[in-house]
Amino acid sequence: MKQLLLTTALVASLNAPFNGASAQNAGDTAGTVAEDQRPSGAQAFTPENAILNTAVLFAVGAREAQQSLRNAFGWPTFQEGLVHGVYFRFDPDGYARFSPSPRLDTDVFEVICRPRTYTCMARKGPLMLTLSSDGRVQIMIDQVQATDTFALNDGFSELQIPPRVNGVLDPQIEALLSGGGSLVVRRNGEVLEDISLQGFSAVHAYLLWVAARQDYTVLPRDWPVPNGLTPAPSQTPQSNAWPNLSLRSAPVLEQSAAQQLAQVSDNAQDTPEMAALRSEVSLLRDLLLAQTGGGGFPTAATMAQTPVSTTTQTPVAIQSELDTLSRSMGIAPAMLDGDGFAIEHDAFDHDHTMGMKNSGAGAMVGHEMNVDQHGMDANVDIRHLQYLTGEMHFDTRTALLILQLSHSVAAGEPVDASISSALQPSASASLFQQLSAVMANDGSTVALDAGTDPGDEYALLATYFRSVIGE
Amino acid sequence: MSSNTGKQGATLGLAVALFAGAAVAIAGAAWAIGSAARGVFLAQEEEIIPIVAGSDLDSLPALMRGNRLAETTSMVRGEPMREVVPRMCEMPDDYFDNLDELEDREPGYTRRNEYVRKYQPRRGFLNEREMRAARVAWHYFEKFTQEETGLANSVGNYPSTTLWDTASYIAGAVAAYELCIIEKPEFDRRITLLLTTIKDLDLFRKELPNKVYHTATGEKVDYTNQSGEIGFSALDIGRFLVWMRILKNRYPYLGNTIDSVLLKWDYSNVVDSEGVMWGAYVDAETNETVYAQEGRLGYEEYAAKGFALWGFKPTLAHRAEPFLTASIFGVQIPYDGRDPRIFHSQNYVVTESYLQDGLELGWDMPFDDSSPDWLHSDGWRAEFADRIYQVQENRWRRTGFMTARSEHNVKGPPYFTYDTIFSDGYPWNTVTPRGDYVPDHAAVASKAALGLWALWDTEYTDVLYEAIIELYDPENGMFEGLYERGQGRVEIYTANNNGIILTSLLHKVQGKILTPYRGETEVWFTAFRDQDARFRRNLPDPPTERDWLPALRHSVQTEADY
Repeated sequence: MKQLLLTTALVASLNAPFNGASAQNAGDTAGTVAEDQRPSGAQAFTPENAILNTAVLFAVGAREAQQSLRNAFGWPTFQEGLVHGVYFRFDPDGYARFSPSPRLDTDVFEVICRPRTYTCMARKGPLMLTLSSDGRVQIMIDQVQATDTFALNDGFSELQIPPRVNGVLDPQIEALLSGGGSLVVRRNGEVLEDISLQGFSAVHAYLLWVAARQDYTVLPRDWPVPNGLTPAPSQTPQSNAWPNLSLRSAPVLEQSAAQQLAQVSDNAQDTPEMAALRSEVSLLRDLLLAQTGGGGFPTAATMAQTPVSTTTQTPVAIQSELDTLSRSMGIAPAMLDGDGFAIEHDAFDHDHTMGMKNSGAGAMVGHEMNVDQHGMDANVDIRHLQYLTGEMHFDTRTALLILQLSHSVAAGEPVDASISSALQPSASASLFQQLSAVMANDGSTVALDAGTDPGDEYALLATYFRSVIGE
Repeated sequence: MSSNTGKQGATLGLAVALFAGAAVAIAGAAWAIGSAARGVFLAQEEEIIPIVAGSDLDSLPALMRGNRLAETTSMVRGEPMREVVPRMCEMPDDYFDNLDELEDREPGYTRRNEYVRKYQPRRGFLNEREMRAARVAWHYFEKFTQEETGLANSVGNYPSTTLWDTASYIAGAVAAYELCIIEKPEFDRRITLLLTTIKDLDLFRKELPNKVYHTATGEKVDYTNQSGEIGFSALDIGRFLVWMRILKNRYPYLGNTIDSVLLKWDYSNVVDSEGVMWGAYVDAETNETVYAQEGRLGYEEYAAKGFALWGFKPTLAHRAEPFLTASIFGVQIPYDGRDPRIFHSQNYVVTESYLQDGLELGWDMPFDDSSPDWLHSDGWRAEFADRIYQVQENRWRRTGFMTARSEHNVKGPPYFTYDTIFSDGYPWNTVTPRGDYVPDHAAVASKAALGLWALWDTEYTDVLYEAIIELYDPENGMFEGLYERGQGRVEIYTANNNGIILTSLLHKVQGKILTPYRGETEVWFTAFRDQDARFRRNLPDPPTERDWLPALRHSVQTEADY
């Protein structure tokens, strides 16, 4: 319910400026124009609305273009390009259009941002796309009722989709929608809407990129990021502090982004409540990671596609989940509070959250393992992975290959302790950044980076059907 | 036998004598005539009056001093100048009874490539509804003119403007005065303050006015209204020159002020020797000035005439070529033939520039100060304008869409659209400056609708009139337009829209806005004759008939083309 309220509030706040015209209209009709409703349009344009640097390329092949204007004001530059099969153009204020046509005239996703904020909304017909407060994709479809049904049409067949598509998306549905096709809404068997999803993934990436102030690390791993064109901090118009950075980060954070997160976490370490939460969440993450790691490494392909998603839970819920996990692993809840249960939970970097699974996804079911053995092995492997990607600057795919090779040839290679200590600030930064974002909304609410399982986006169809039927 | 021989000898002797006498007589006569002629001619040569340098007989120094009038049709052809039309409140009640505008004439080109249209403009006093619209439109300028600088905001209370929109403000002020909405003290105060500010504007790299200025401070700014410079626009300057000429010709007492404003500028790069107009912008990487050809069919010719009104020779800019046509609803619509993919400049076809040429210049050549309203000496411009009108009426008749398309502002992103009849290969293409297709922003533009109504007295423009004439907010001015797809009014108020609407209403009362120049000479031509400034700044000499832009014609479409 809280999530729904947050969603509603966000959508309402997004809609406010877009409905300004109607508000003014009403005022004019009455014959009296309120002061704040005086001729706008020009007022809507201010240089302070510039949130993006159009010189920072969204994707490989994009270009910044200058435009000569006939009128007195407007944006002198914009950026245009082609990515994931859709052409795009965007202005410094975030206004963007995505379309499979180079004229940007058909099947258009139009993105508008609230002035002077990084909060943006994409529209295509009745479909509205935003990011939730925790950085997840959120869909709203106009005039949809509770009894309506949804399906994904790929041109050959239709796949039934649960009604929760009209809301904050879970990773599975998000992955399905990103694949293209069209979203069919039916009411009483009749097609109510048939909305093309072309451009969905690009728009989603754009929303993330804008929210993260043009930080490439939030883009999907297969995103064609311009090589060597990462902007210097001075090039981007954003400030250093970004307390509401999307939690859906790419597996490998660039150093600058990690430093930003560390800075946020340092600011949040004062509160005792935060310290307690930090401890609990760290423990939970350790358990989750241990369980996941015990199941083997994710494949390079899944890692490349894996962003990190989050769930919003209260501390009570976190504790409940912790107990549940412990019971599932045969550990008494009391042990978690004691000193006897010693897992180096501080050693995990934010990057490793890619290996976490959303507890709601049911991905952990069926994993019976020895926590002591498999969990510690996983920790070692992850440290190795971190070393290879963070210190040696290998990409994740290469690092995984090296690790797999090392397993087969020389298992048990000692871990460099300096790595974990060096990575510790990033881990705490990740956790506290997530926590502080939710704490800012409600003191009783905690954002927990539950993580998106790399496999979630590529769940077996059979698993998917079971989940649908189960609902 | 001997007597015959004696007769023959006497006859021969007589003949010889007669011949000798005749020869002597002829020689004597020749000598006498020659002597007389020498006497006559030598005597005349001595009586030649010497030409004193600088006198009336010495034409070269007069040209060098610039104190020679620009040659116009009234001077060259001996035709009477157009008469000055009084202000509306000073017109006799029967003023419009004797106008010859309404007489039917055979449409087509004349021998001099003038054009007679098949349509007539509206002429007459403004009725109550029109006066209300005029007052509301003027109220925009009352409300959004900056007290300190005298500059009017381009859009509502956003404090920036261009020379194009400043010309619209001048148009509004002239119309308000001529329609008796304001009186001379108010008019003079506004114009003097405005011209004084413009004279003191910081120019773009000491050449010409920057593209945009902050209206509250008079500071040159960029498109985001931040301090900086963008470049200059030849089109904007051209329109401004049109209105400077209108002001100067109508109100000679403003002449010195106007001349002093324009004499500060450097025209060495804006019109080249071949008559091409060039705008300027700043290279983002090198920060150097880049000059680029500016203007496409429609706007380019209108702006070129602005320069020609001040003696420049924008010969190529005034020509329609290169142009192509696209058949839309049976009408061959001319559009600029320069490929936007190569030149990176959209070749949009809108109503506005044709309207401004018709309202302000009567589709006449810059040197024409004598032709009647029904005769358009810049013939092809009038003929093309008729096509622009006809295709919009045809669209209305075939599809039901009221159509009066122009460029216009919109509320929120993308802030501005080219709502075109044709552009980039597509009819009825509504595009943003960056090229996005935004059909939802298609609208009946108020300025285009009222302009069409003023220049084409037809059933269709009656419909446009009904749609627009009450489309205003009394507190702010006329709305920018009416959305074509039913989203209501375009809730923006702009200087350009309100200025053109006032011009249209003034045209109904007075006809062509530009009036003949009646002074003896102009400081514009006589200044800096003792310096090299005229050469360095490319200031023109008074144009002669040889300098006139050529009046041309293009093929006329006689029947619908489908």
